[in-house]
Amino acid sequence: MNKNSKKGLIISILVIAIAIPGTVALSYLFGDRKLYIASVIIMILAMVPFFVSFEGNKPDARLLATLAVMTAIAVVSRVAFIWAPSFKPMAGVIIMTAIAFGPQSGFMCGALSMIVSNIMFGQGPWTPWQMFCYGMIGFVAGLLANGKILSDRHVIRTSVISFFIVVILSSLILDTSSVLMMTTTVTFGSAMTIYLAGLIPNILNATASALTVFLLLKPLTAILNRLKKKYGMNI
Amino acid sequence: MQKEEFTTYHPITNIIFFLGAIILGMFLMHPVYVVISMVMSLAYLFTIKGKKAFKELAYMGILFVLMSVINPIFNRMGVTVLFRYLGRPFTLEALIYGIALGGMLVSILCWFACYNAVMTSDKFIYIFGKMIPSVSLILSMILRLIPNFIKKTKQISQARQCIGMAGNASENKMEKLRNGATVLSTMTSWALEGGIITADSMRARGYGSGKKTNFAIYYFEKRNIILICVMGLLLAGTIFTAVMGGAHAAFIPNIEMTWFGDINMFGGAIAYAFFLFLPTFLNLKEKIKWRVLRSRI
Amino acid sequence: MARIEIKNLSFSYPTSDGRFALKDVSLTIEEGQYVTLCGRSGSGKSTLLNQLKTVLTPNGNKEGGVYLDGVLLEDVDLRTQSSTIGYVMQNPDSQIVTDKVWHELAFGLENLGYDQRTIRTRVAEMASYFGIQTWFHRDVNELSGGQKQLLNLAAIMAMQPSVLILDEPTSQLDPIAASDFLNTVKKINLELGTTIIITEHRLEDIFHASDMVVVMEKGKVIACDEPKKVGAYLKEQNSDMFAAMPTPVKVYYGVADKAKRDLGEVPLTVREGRSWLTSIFEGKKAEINTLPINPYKENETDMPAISLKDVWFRYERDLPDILKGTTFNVEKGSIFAFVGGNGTGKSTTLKTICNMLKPYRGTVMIDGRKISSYKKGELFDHNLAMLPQDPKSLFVKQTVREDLEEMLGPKESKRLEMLEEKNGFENVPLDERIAEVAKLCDIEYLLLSHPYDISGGEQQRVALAKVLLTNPKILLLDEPTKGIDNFFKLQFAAILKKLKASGVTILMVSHDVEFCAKYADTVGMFFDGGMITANVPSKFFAENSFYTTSANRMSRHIFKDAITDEDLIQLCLANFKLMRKKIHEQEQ
Repeated sequence: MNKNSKKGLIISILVIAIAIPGTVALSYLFGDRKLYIASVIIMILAMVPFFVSFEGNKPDARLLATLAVMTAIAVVSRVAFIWAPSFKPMAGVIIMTAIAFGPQSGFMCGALSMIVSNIMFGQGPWTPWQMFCYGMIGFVAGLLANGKILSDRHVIRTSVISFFIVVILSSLILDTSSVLMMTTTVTFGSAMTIYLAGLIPNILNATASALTVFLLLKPLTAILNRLKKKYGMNI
Repeated sequence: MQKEEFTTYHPITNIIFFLGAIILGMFLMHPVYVVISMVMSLAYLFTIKGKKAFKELAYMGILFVLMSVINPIFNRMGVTVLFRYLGRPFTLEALIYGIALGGMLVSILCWFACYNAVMTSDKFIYIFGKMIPSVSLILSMILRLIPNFIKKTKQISQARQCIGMAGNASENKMEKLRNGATVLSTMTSWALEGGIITADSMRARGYGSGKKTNFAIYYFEKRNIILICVMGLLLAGTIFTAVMGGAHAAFIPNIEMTWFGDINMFGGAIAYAFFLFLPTFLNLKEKIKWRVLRSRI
Repeated sequence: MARIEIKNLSFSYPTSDGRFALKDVSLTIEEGQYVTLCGRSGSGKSTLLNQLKTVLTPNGNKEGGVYLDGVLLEDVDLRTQSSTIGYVMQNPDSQIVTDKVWHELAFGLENLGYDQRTIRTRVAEMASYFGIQTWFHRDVNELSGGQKQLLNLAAIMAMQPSVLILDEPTSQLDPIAASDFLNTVKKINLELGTTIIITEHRLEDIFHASDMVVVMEKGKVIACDEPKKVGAYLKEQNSDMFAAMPTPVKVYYGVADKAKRDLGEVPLTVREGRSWLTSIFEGKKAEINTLPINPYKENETDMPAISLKDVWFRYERDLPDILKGTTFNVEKGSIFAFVGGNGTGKSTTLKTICNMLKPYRGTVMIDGRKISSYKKGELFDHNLAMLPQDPKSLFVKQTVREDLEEMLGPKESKRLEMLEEKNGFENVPLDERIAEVAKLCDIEYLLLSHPYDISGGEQQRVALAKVLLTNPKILLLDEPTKGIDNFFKLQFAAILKKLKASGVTILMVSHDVEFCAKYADTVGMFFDGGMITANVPSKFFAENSFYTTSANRMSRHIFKDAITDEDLIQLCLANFKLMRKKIHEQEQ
């Protein structure tokens, strides 16, 4: 990791640490509908440091091409399962990319997969939330992989943790966006109903992702290691 | 789909309009403003899509009803109780608030539907490229790869079927899943190998050899400047009157809102309506122009 | 001063244990020259081309150097290199970067930091020069392979390079697109004076046009001269590169070898070949003008391996028909080939035979049984198998051996995998069936390689081996010779012959007329959704004037049905013999 990306990482963490309490504070100040708009703005702001540090690193051609390939595969895996609502292997592909290339690439892969799928299926007010959610899935997986908690040596452990990453982050971010969008005044009852309703699709999605990780982590690592060796890639 | 006029404008002009329409749409909850936004977004959606718009409206209608009903269920505040169910009050204010919210959401979704038709992927990438060039390049690369990968996935799974490695009668669920995973990993392997070649091709064409510029095929002609100025004036009018309290509306616990008697409310609503009418207007103008031109022949 | 000068260049990859990929290569390329580089796969052609652009040079030990206008290439900055030396690669798809045609054209110029106005002019200019303006706004994915490769060329030419390097640019294209592409390259060379360095399998189209032909073998340059002299040299050396020479050259030397008379200048093109033949036969029709052949028996077989009767297909109700009453039979134990342009329904027919697509009218019979009566999976169980166009579609493992072992079924393959992981490959005996197939396909030396690390011809044979492990009675081949050089074609043909001898029926779709002429028993022509004619190759090609082999085009004014080089040589010699006999008789 070079100096530039380290700086980016620190900024990222700072913004995230400020963004979430910021949302809470803003909601307290404005109340009502402004809460939703404020939160969307904060979502976008929170992603800025990631994109800026990616840009600042001047990604070389191989990183760019490899990341493009992995992101396209993530999107294709979502398209391939278009017939199965909620059951999407996409987050699994993003997690594996994060394990192989680190938190920053993980974030980019997640966030870009979501923009691109929305370019294909239609953008909406949900786009920033989805981008942030899947970006964070990649980012967290990348951090855990750096801490050797996720690795190709422990396929089962990695799959189980992947399951929880997806469930927790989807509930925390995506369902919160539904809560903010669907209701006028956030009450415990309305929030709980939406969170509970969201849990089933989230679990389905996480199961698909965990299965993907379980089945593909080993072969994918072998493919990537071979490429790293053959072409002297250091990513 | 007929030729749509606003699409031919520069992406920056397009994005200013949509940002304005969507952000204002989210902020302005005054029922009159919500109705304006809904009518204008529907008018534009029909201009773009014609009869196909009905299809999208079906699910928006459901959403509208759902939002209107859900809000009073959870939101128990409001002074006018319509009825009680299991001791819970169901108030008129919460219902109206729900309807306004549903209307707002539907209009936002309509604006997004228009946005998706107007802001094609290359315009989107152009806007991104202005701010973050690497991200815009990678987006373009991803969009190029996806159809390729879908095709290749089909090829691989057919190739495997043709050597009897998939699609057998005896196959169970787990085997099916494993086969799917094999196809995906084969595709990945092929795709990453291709990615290396793409990277070579990029470097061979000077990527990373120094400062990069961004080329765009869009022309920023005079009509864009005019349109942006008009949009700016109308936006300023809408925002100014709103800040002056023209678009004030509170639903809970009492419904209180400004009405047409208030000059700020009246002026703001007109500016807002004109702003949102712009793309539809451009289309109408063009249609009339061509009819006249043709009649002269 | 020479444009590019290569001085005593040697190169070895870090993993090759000191084996040289290039050994002591010296070459001088002048401004505006058209240089063709040939040699079999693995002879070092691509390695040499990669040395001509620093960013593409792989890691390894390098001695000697490459000079661009007298300056060592490593000292030329990247920006200058990027714009001066253009490089078109083999795969039309992977070298495209962006999603729109206009963006792809501009990409190189963006990287060089040109301003909006300059880029706009250059892009417009290139689009017009290459005739791209009609598809300027399209997605690259909508383009055909030939159009994609033309786009790659245009995108590079937009940077106005003075040297253009092309690494087997047409190997993935069909013959018509390929010759279009090569004509454009020639046009660039003639009109813009751009120096061209090209490697190609299809020497037929470029050999005569070259100013200099460089022949490589095992990393060394073995010949470097003008085309005519290179042909003579290779013949003299009895080099196996001679097999790659264009038909007229091969025929000339084939005849010259035995004829023992003066034959004049060596012809390089079909046109020259025709006048050469005319001159040696002094304008007369040859007396022996046909070879004995087995006549074609249509529909006489009682139970064909594959039989299509009046098959109609379209993808959706509102779409046009793709197959329009296709009818033909494939005799058991024969090699049947069909040729025809793109979009005539060849691939659709193959898919119909595989039951991937279901015709809405007509019947498909496999081995005398209706295709619909086969249960799911039964069709491919020791019965029918298809070798896909891209052999890579079949490679799912990390070594060739594991890939073959996958075919033994999930249980057996899992067991072997565990054993191999524990004891290493060398200690686990190779499965008998795999050993047999590996021997047949001559891939024993590849078993431990990664399937992506071997050449295209080798990949083809590995994929064939994998397919053969299903024990097929009927083998379908989709463009089996695409991207393969002549030596591998010969090897591949030998395998097909062995399979045929063991009773396998082979049906192939191909653009490669020369290959079909040589090895098929029956050739059929596809046009507009149906098989319009089928016959034995000599009759089939003799009837066509355009869709036929070079040997036939060269000799059709003298001989009736000479379609391969061998036919032509044999007929020439037979006639010479007759002529000599006559002269002899006259003298007596």
